[in-house]
Amino acid sequence: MPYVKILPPLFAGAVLFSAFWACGPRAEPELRFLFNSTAPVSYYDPARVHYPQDYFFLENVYSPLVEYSAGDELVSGLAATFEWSGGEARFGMRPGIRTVDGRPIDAYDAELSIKRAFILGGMDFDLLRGPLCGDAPPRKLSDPCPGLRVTEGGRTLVMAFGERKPFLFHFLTNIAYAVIPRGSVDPETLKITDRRNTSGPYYVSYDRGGGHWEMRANPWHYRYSPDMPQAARPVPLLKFTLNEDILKMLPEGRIDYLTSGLARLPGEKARFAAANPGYNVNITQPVRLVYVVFTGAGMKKLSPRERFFIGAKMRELYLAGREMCEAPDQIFRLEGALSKEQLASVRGLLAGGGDLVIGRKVYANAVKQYFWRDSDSLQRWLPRLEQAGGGAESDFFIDSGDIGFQDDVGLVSNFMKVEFFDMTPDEKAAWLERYLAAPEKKDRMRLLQDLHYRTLSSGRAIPIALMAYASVARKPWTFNFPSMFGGDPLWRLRKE
Amino acid sequence: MEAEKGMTMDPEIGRSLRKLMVKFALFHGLILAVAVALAVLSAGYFKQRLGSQLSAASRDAILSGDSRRAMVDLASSVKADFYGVAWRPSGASEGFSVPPGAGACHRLACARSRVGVYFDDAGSIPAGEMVFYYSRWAAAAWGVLGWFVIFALSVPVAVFERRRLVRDYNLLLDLKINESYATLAAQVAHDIRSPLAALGAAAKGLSLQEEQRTLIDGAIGRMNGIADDLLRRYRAPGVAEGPKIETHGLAGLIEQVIAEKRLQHKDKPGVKIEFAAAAGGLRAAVDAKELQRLVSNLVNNSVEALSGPGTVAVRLGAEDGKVLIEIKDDGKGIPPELLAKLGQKGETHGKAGGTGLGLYHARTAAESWGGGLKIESAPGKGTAVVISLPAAARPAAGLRAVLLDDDALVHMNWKMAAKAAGADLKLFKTPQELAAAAGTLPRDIPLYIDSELGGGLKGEDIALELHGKGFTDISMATGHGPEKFAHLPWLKVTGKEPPWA
Repeated sequence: MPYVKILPPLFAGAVLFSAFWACGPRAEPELRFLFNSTAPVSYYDPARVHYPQDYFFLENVYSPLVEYSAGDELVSGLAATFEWSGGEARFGMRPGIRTVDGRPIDAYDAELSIKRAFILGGMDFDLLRGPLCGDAPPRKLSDPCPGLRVTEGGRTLVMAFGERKPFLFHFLTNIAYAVIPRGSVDPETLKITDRRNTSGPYYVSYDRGGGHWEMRANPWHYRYSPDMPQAARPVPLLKFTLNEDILKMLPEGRIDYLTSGLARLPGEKARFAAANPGYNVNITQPVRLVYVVFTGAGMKKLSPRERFFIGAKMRELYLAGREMCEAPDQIFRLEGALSKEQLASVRGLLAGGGDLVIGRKVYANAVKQYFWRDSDSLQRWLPRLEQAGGGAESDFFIDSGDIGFQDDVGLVSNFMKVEFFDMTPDEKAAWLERYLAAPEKKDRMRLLQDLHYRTLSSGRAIPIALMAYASVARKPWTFNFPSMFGGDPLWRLRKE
Repeated sequence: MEAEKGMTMDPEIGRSLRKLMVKFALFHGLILAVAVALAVLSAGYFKQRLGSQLSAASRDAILSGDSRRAMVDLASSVKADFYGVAWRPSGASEGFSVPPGAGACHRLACARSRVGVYFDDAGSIPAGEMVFYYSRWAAAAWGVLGWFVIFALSVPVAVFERRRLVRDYNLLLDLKINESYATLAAQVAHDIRSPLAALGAAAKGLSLQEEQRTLIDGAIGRMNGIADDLLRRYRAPGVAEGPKIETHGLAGLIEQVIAEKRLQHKDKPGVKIEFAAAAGGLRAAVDAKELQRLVSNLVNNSVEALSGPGTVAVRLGAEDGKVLIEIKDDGKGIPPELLAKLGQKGETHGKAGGTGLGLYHARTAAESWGGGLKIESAPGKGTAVVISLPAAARPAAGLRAVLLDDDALVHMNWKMAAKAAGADLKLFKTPQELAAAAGTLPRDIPLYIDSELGGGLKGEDIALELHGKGFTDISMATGHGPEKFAHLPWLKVTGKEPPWA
């Protein structure tokens, strides 16, 4: 009977507690971000990184051995320590790091990931594969790579070069060198079979197809914080949408986050955040370069005057209607920058020199993507411009890229992947070999400066515009992003 | 800086100055130590901050494996601030320093800023430390410079304070001397009263001619007055009492002095001192004692100016609303070149050991009473000193008063003053005499009672008794201060001087 007397106050207390709980701060719902891809998550692979959405997915789901901090400093990634011992780079793995299902991540995972990249190939990987694996590149995971080994029972990964490579740690910050847990890779096909057990701050919790997937925070990860978004879900962008309509999706409540890869003009995002106090905007340093590259066919078809004319008109068009954009005179403004005389010469060429109408049929890629609202203007001086494809070889293309790399080797390697420099693949490989062999950085800078000048003065590539990357987040999310790189590492967001 | 002008410095002030200098030196020693310490500590703080910033700038190059190049570049660019830089990887016993062996300098001479470098951005995984070496004492020069500025600014202040200390000390010394003089004077004035009283009492028992008695009583009265004056002046050391300027009948005051002077110079053959006062009871506002001293000095001067027999004629007259006191002799006179200077401080003529203060005081006293002093002289004919004073109005006729005092000299003074003022004064020597006449006196008549009535009788007791009988205007005619009679609020306190003087 005495228990009966306790029941009413207990019931009242429970009601009160429930009321307080209901009124208290609720857990943030998952972060919804606009994503212009409906590809399944199985599409994304660190060994194949091209587009902004590739970087977005991989930088959130995988971690490299070494990273850049929010202050743009080289810091520990999955490797707690990274140092040189003679000609050996030694990476001491973070103890206690696991996938969401509790699988430890160690140096064997890092070794497998790098060897896998070497097997799958690519220019980035070739730079390290030769020095580490010698003349017999591995064809399968069981093949030896003498310069790559694991010591101390899986705690340390060693990359043995003959000499120190000061660019290496910077180079390894590239998400292409992300660590993939060995249990998530099919050892035969090398395909990533499990995107739940990943090395990054997030793992994929489901993929229902059609671009409907979700990533959730891995509490075992060294970047995990209860203040970061605990779950994030893409809202697929299924059709071409104007920038203003994309931005409207934020106040309409359809998305919470707009990545730097969509509605890419920083001026529009800055204006939106200024007009809408419920949002924060992150703007990087101006590290996004938009440029036109003339292909081998274009170099033959178009005279230098025509190439510089096209470049000058495109610079003029692009800068006329867009805020927060600069007109760059060169591509590598810090490392490999042109000399004063070279810069003066290039500026003269970039001026274009008079009006011209190029009446020949010219094929190009990605022009509409960048100049979709300038077609009338283009028609006046390039009346027979057509989209390349269908058997027609492109004469030029427009592209953009992040030039905020902290090290020259990474930057050069990135541009080597496209037809940026007027060199054949063999010439590129030879130049890169010579470049990496230069012991002093100043010697490398001289080589890069020379290549840089040749590229610009020949009209092979012409810089069009330089601007920042910008992202928008609904409050209370605030940014803690590096300023010298583009990208959207959602795990760096924090509650205000 | 009296001492610096050749005067002997008092040992006390010398000790004080030495102490001051020691304190000054200790103070500056302390400031120097603090300034040097602050300079060294702040340099350490800022070197540490600079080291942190340099480490952050060099961190990536060091961690990327190019630490030697980074150290060499860094050392050359920061040599103005650090004489050496070193990188010491975590766990390594030795590092790489530029110049080699930079850390070998002794810790007393060299300081180091150590900045940890970490692999991770949370600062939890140490990669090593950068060490920046600098001279520990180089910054001390700034401290010394700072101290020197303070020292240079404080020296004039110290010199000024030293001078002020010497001046104040001398003033204090003078004050102490004056105080001791005052104490001495008060003591003498106090002690002399008893012998004077005895002298007065003895004189009463002598069979003397009336003139001689009057003279002796007058002299004793004056000496008592001087004693009273000294006591009044120095009763409260350090608080000088101002001159007691009241309206007096001048004839009585001067006559008293003349009588004294005649007796003083009676042995000088052929010397006559005459006094003539115009009728009408001439009055002026003066300090009575000062006036008597003034006239006494001037008569003495005139007597001394007589080289043989002669006459000193003192006349009291009136002219154009002014009272004139003329002291004239037929002596040797004063040369014209000296005549203009006489009356100034330190100027004298024909008087052995004269200080020149007599005439000077006479002039300043006369001027302080609103009058002046004039000297007329012709060599071989004589000198006349004329003091002019603003004439005061005569008191209203019909004044009346009662005095109870056992002193005959006081009776004589009051009698003469009453006569000069035309007042009706009734004199009583004993309380019994006053009591016998009290029934005939109006109750509002002013009663003046001496505080010491002889035979142990206290004036305030008699005053209390008379107050009980209905007398309303009772004053104590005494040299005591009013505080002594504060318990009788209706009782007034005046001096020994007659109210009409």
